[in-house]
Amino acid sequence: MENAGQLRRQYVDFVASLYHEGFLDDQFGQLQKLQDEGNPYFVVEVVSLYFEDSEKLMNNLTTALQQHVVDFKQIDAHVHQFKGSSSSIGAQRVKNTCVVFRDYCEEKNLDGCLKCLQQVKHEYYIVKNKLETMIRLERQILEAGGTIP
Amino acid sequence: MMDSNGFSSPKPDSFPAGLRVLVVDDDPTWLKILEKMLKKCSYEVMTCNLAREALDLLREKKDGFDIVISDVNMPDMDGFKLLEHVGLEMDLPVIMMSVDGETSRVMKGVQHGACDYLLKPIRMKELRNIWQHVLRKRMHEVRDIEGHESVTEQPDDVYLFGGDLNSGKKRKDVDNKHDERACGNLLSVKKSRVVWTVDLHQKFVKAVNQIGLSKVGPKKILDLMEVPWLTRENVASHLQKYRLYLSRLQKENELKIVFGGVKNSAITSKDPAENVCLENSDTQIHKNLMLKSDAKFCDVNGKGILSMPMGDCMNSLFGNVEDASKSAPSRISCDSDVKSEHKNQVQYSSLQFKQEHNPQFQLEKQFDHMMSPIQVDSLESIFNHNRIQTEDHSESRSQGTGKVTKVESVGALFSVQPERSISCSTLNMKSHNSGQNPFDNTERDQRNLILETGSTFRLWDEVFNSYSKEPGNIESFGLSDRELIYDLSPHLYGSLDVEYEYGSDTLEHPVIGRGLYIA
Repeated sequence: MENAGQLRRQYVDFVASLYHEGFLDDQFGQLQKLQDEGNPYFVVEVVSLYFEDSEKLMNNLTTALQQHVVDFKQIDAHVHQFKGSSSSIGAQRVKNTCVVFRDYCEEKNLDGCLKCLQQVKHEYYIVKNKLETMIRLERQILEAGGTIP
Repeated sequence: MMDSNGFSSPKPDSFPAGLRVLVVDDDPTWLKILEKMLKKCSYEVMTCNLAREALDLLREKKDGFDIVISDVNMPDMDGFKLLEHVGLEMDLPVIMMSVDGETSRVMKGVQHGACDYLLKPIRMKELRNIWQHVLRKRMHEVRDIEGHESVTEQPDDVYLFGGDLNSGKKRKDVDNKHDERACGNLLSVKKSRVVWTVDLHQKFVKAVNQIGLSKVGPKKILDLMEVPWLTRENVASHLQKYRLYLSRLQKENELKIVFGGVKNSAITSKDPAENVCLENSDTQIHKNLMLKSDAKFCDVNGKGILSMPMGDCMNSLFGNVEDASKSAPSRISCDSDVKSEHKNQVQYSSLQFKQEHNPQFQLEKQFDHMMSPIQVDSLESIFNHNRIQTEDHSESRSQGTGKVTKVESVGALFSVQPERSISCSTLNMKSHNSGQNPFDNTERDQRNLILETGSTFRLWDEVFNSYSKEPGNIESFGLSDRELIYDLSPHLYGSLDVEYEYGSDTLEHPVIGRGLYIA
């Protein structure tokens, strides 16, 4: 069982890599700053909300793109929404993919949109995974008696 | 210390702490984050994820909030619409937010009266300063009140902006007084907001119709309404909004009629030939009113040219009022299929103004009697966009109203009299006609308007000062004109581009129709 110190180092490195590789941007840092004793699970709560909302959005997008007659405006609205919520937690790559996605919507490029949907799902699952890992690490640190750096 | 709304009353000393904020966003993640951020700023926060809900909350807790922050994209109602409603009903500062920072969107926000437009992701530091909008608004309200009070002895029809028609000096004095005040005074002076309930509004409309929209003035309305606790300022500001609402409806209808539903028609023709010279005859007026991107009023009386962004509808309105037989039937019947969001339809058919109820807007009930007033100030209304209305917002803040019917009233209110000239400063209507209007200096002006609300007032002051030199004109001004100017809000957009195309000529001519006005 790793001690708190080791876990903390792991955590720090891990989080640094997330920023470095562009999975997260500064907004995430803002969220962490908002967390305080009065709200010790703030980040976890926000991230959970994001996950929930995102799954819904992606389902909507998938359905919309499967329609016989594709409603690009509607899709654009969903992507816009997804872009907004991704920006809320700093999920940078997801957000950037949404930007490209919106361009395809505007061009009414179905192929482009389908590719973007794939891409956005991919990016989403990666960042989801990363965030879950981070949260797990935090819990482990606390359980090991340490404090989160 | 909690008041009945469950909110502590804001303590002036600790301002901006305790600022009561309502956040509206359909994104649950953002809602949570914003709530946390605002709480960290020591503000009191309530959240809603639906615009409808937000409006209900605002209506229930009258005076329970200091400021509203809302996202632009929401499922149940366009954020811009919510913005208008809030402005009209509650007169609270509204900040818009969006992840989309395109200039056109921001522009739209400003046009609809947003006091700020934030781009997501929003940082806490941006939220920390939102109190400035609350303070600014209060400062303006106090100024308005002072202005009002300073002219109580004057007859309504010379009542003007800042209460001083004849010299800008008095205005300056008021300003100075303000400057000398400690901030604290302003903070503790909270203008109590009147919530215009359906009943109250009906009394208002009844009074307005009794007097005649063209002759109406807050004092007269107040007297007729017989509501002891209502102040003249309350009525004045409500009147202004009412007019804006009417004009907005008017404008939308006309746009519809004339352009067959083309929203952003680039009505930029400034061809002088199209600028009609309004002659004394009413029919002329009708013919001449054309939708123009620039509404320039000039004095109308054979000499002036009235170019307004009004469509034929306006014509028909006038036509209806004056002489129904003259106006072409096609003009009269404006089937405005109101913009998508706004399902109200205003149909003008031989002096009948009906409006379908738009269930979307609760305010409808309030403006159930928007009848004749519509016609009356159709001209002025065009220009009175206190909160900007682009064609997308067909419902003026006031929202759809029930049935607008007064046939007779149309005539009564409207009675365009040839000998009156339309001498109103014109609002540069460019902005009003379409979201794509070319904004050369309008943008700058608008920015000025928004940011330096004080300047708004001064500009109007200048406008009126020039009018004041022509005593004849002053008389012919309808009260309404003056009053409208009164409660200018920083959100006035585009209207500050007062252009007097014909200079003093304009003033010599009698006023045509009423309400032409400079908002």
